[in-house]
Amino acid sequence: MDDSRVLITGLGLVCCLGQDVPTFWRRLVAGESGIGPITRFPTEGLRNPHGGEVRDWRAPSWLPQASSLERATQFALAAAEEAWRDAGLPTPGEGKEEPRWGAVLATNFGGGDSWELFFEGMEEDTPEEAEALLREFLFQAAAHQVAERFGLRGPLWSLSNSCSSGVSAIGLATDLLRRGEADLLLAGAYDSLSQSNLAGLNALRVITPEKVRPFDKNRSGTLFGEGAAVLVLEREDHALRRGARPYAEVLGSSMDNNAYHMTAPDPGGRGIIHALRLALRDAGLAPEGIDYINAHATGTQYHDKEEAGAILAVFGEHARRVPVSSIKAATAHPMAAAGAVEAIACVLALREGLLPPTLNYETPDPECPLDVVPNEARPWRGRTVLSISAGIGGNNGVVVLRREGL
Amino acid sequence: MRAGRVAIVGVGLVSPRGIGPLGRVVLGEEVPLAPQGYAVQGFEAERWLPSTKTYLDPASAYTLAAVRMALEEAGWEKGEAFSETGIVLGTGFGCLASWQRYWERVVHGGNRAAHSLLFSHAYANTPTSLAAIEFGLGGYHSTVTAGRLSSLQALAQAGLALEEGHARRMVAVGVEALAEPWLWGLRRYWQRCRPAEGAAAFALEQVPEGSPCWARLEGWAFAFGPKALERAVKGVLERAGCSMEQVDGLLTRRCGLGEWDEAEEALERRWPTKALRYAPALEGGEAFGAGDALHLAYLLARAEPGQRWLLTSWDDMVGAGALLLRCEGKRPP
Repeated sequence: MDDSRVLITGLGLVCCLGQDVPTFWRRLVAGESGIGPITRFPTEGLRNPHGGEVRDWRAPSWLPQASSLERATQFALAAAEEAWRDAGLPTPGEGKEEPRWGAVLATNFGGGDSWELFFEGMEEDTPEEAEALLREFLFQAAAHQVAERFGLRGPLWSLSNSCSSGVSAIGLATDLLRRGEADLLLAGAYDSLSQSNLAGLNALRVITPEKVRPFDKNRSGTLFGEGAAVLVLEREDHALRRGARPYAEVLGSSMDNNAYHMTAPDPGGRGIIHALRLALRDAGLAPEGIDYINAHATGTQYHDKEEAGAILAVFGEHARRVPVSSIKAATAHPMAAAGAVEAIACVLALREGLLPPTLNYETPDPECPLDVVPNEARPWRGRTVLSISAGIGGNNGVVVLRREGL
Repeated sequence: MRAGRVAIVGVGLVSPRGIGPLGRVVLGEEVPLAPQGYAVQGFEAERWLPSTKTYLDPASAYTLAAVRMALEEAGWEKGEAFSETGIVLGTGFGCLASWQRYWERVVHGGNRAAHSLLFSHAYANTPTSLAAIEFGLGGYHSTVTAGRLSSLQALAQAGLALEEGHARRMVAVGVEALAEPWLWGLRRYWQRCRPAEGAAAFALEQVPEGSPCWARLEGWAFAFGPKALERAVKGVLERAGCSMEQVDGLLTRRCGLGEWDEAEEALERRWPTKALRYAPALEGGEAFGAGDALHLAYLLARAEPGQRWLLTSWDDMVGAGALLLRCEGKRPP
């Protein structure tokens, strides 16, 4: 059962740019942005009242209990449902149980709305009310709901690796499948915007007062968003047996830490360099084997520069030829979900032969001398892509994907 | 499964029963019960931390101390930052006390009152990152937040990282710190099993047969849903190629939730009667995400060399887990 190839056979997401994969991709390659005013909680005192809020969100009709569920969990369930259907898996909710199917989901903040309600009721709520809210807040809440919804009876994991969470979930799921610990895993990440997380992120002084401009010389910070993205990953033998249509193979991954500082930049991008090398090693590729890089690039001065430096250090001359983009100006930074949303963008780039643009890229930065794909999608023919994520606490994650078929 | 390659070569413990590297600590049998539960007592952070820290959540302080002890016991020098030494930490609530403090300020003072240091020290992954920073653990890195199953999954993920070649050495940690929100939110359980806190850290590496170590991990399995415990146990035995008769002892979670305690009791009834039984939560309380790590450390301190133990655990939202290990009884000087 060891060392199977791991294939991606289904995609699902919710973010400010679209509440399903086709809408997300259409708007992404059209150069649109989903960023707008935040409406769900008070924004007074924030550096910028805009963000990547999922607007007009309604609990999906197939989830009868959704209206009482935490918003973050609803996102995760909706993304999982789309991925499930996209993979051509049996209709969920019919009581079928799969002992070798499971999930690896990740989140930074769990249920932010539920935390706020829980805190508000800490003097008065009955034990039952308090416990119900605490359970909605807990990090493993969405994994639990997803497992119940889809009859998953295999391993269930919940991670919290800050903004590299999405890539971490894909990486761990890949290892579990390679090792034969499951046949099929839903892998992804989610977070919702709430006052309890955005106030703190604002205090870190990484929010821009204007637009998000990844890799642009005049970039001044990022904007945060919300959403979920889930991929169906399968062992190759399992996918073939059920006649699945694979999009791509997960060739390799890595997750590491800068081991430098909780919030300060890592001089020289050493942590990202290390993560890139580990992922290439895991994928069995030389740097020249990568045809496109989806960067984490949030639009902060220091991070984008360090990430560009890391790409240059690892890819050498190839770094000047390989196209790079960041989609944060379109999706905002959807926190834990970022890496999974971007992995889906990479899969679609492989399938459609089109690279998503880096919006608001107007003035090249000599300190980021990369082939940035600016403002408009670029037709492209490549086979192997790499996506980078990074997060608070010095977490980094990298995933390498290869197109299936020709 | 390449059974038995991953070995525990150092253990650090911060617990209500004792604090220190496992080879040196004397574990108390009578665990003192504080008003809020089984609390860590007599812990002096500055004794274990090389520099003064501000805004350190108790979960982070316990983690840093336990990791330092485990590294010292393993004889590992402070790692070069980008060596292939990593860490996986499991916690159910992370730094919830700091999160509460941070959020209280925002509730009372608005968005502008958010405190950046409190916020950055309140993430679930903060203890993991601080340990990486403090000890130069720049390799494989992850935080598992799977409720009561967190530290068992952290051990498994660290083992997986070694076996998949992502790291050369790993530290696996389980940590939980008593904090008002979870004590209050889960208060209806504490009549049956008192809450507890602490951290246990394990230095793991693949070492040849015969090398001294506390124990070797022989396998793990996880399952969700009906009969999850039964399936996890069956899974781990199958993967390790081991029968029930070859298991010398059962370490069960037994933390006061009827349905799950009954499943563990049923498992014990089915098991050969000669097998030893150990359920530390019955005397030492329920340390949620740190429970399995603490129980494993207690077991290693008392198990005889050559004994094979099966550790079972569960979380009502995540399912069940089982870990099989062979104790080697290393007693470092």
